Amino acid sequence: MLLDFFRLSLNNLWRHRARSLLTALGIIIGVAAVVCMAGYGEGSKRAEIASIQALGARNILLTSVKPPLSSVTPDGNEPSKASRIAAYGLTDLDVLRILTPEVGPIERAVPMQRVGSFVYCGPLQFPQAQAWGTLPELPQVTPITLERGRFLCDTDGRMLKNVAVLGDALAAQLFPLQDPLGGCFEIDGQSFSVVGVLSADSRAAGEPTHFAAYLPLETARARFGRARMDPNTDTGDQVEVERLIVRVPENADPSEVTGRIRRVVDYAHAASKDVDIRVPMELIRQKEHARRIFTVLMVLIAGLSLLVGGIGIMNIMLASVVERTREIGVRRALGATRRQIGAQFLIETTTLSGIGGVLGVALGLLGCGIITWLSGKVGWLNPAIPEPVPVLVSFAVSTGVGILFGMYPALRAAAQDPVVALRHD
Amino acid sequence: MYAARLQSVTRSYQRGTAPAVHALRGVSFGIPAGQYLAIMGPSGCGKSTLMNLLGCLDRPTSGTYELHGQQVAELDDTELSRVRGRQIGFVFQSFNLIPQLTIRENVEVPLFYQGVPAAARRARAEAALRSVGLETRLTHLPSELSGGQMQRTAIARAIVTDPAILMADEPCGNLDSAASAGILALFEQLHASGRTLIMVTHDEGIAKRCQRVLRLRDGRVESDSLPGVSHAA
Ligand SMILES: Nc1ncnc2c1ncn2[C@@H]1O[C@H](COP(=O)(O)OP(=O)(O)O)[C@@H](O)[C@H]1O
Ligand SMILES: [Mg+2]
Repeated sequence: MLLDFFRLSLNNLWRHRARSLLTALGIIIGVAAVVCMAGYGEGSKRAEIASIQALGARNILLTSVKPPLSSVTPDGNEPSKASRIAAYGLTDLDVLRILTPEVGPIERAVPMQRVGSFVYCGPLQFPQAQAWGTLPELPQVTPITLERGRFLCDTDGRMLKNVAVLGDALAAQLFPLQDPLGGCFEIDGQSFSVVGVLSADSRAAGEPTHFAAYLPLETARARFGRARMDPNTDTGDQVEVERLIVRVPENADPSEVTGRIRRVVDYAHAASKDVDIRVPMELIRQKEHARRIFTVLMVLIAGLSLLVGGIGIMNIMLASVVERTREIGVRRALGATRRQIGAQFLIETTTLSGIGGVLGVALGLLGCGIITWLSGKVGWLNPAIPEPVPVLVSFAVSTGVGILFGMYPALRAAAQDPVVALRHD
Repeated sequence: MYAARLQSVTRSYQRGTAPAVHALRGVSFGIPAGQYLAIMGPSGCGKSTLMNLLGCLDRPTSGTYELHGQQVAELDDTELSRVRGRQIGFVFQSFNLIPQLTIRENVEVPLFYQGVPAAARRARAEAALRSVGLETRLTHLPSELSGGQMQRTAIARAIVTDPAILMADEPCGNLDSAASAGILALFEQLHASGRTLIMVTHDEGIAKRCQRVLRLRDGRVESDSLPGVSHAA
């Protein structure tokens, strides 16, 4: 019987297919919007998590940051060179304190130090290039892979060798015509030879390594000192440890270790606030939280649009009840009970909104496909990844809306008196 | 044995504060099973009101109506719907076919509400349409048929459930004389097969061919005559 009613509804809706489509349009658009939004939310979340994971889920990033006040030079008098150099940030002592067993467990801690100002190859300067002093363990804490050659090794540092490992783009710019391996270039007048080239997808502390040059930390400190001058303003920064990437063992909780590190760092830096501590794992959790709020908002908006769609359907169904009054009378005369008449209209509304839901899901999936396709073309767009749960929920809700808003027209239809309905024209 | 029996039946329409309209003012008569009865009378005398009561579409304001031994007043709305679907076949002046359904689907409608499976519905609808000579029009829409053909479809729909009583309110009112003759022939054939037939008509010629003529005036029975011969040969 139910199946018969369903077939009757399909028949009726198909006979007025243009009107049915227009009636369900609100639902279709509402559901499609939900599917697209949910898909885009999911895609954005994955992109964010991927970029955070590039920082390393087991990592803690400590960065020395310049406190705002120290950038102001003293007034009036020509400042001495020393006063134009701002000293701040993590110190070697801080690092030693962090590495004590009470703070741990820590698997590895790798510093990164920006050095040098000018990179030359022959007469050409490369302003995009950035040289870093670091340890051979850097690839163990951050996703760095080699395209060619080797990474830094302990001997490089111990012997204070002038060797460098280049990012892919920098290698290609410095040595467009020759093999970069073994090639020489200059940093602030010091000559370095290339021992390795990184792959294009390498990342250090979350940033691409395209224009980076990695030098042995000891070499860098020996050649360039601790202060780094800005050639434009003639001011400088003196930082003992610019960045420290701390990796905790697999079984440890990065947040707990961070808490202890923070206490150690605050001991010396609480007042100056010149050390920034970031935990990718916590960022991921924050993103999760933000996403949950986004999801709740989205569901509210979606619910609102489905509500509007439902009211649209109810409106048309009420008109349809009036239009089909005589038909209702005839059916009642031929043996239909009130219940059967009500059921017919309710099932028709539900079928309509259900089909609207299916079309909306299809449209939404198409939208997701288009967004994903576009995201491959333009950088600022994330792909839209439709997950089964929001798709099914939005379909279920659209059908529920049909049942809810079909109720009143169905009751109106069922309440028709057969004699009065038969006189209606 | 009576197929239907009314005792002192009245029906008044009350709307708002306006004085009540007394469409029926006390009607009593019985219809023996298998009778072919014509109801006549001037317009507005209560014929349609009476037919609605007889067809269980409506209930009397007062008085009792007994259908096949069952007191209609005791039935609730759902049971009344069942009675209409199984015991009574309706034929209307304006055909009342459902315009968006094909001829066969129209005839299937009463079976649908009895829960008859689709295949059986189809077979019984086709059989009913064959018996009124419309077996070649199954998939047409009502709008593609002549008036006579539409009324034949309505008759097929009325008899597809094999009801004991057929009720027709001015079935030929919208038809020309040739089509009317065909419809009347069909009715006589149905009567001959044992059905009780109640028909409202304005046509004295048609009334003469019935077994009994009930004349109404102002909501009362004016005369109840038996013109005589049954032509159920
Ligand atoms: N639903 C109704 N409400 C009020 N008055 C009605 C209604 N139906 C019929 N009547 C009145 O009842 C009387 C009988 O109507 P009806 O049975 O249709 O007459 P007939 O079919 O003999 O022409 C008329 O005066 C009509 O106006
Ligand atoms: Mg009438």
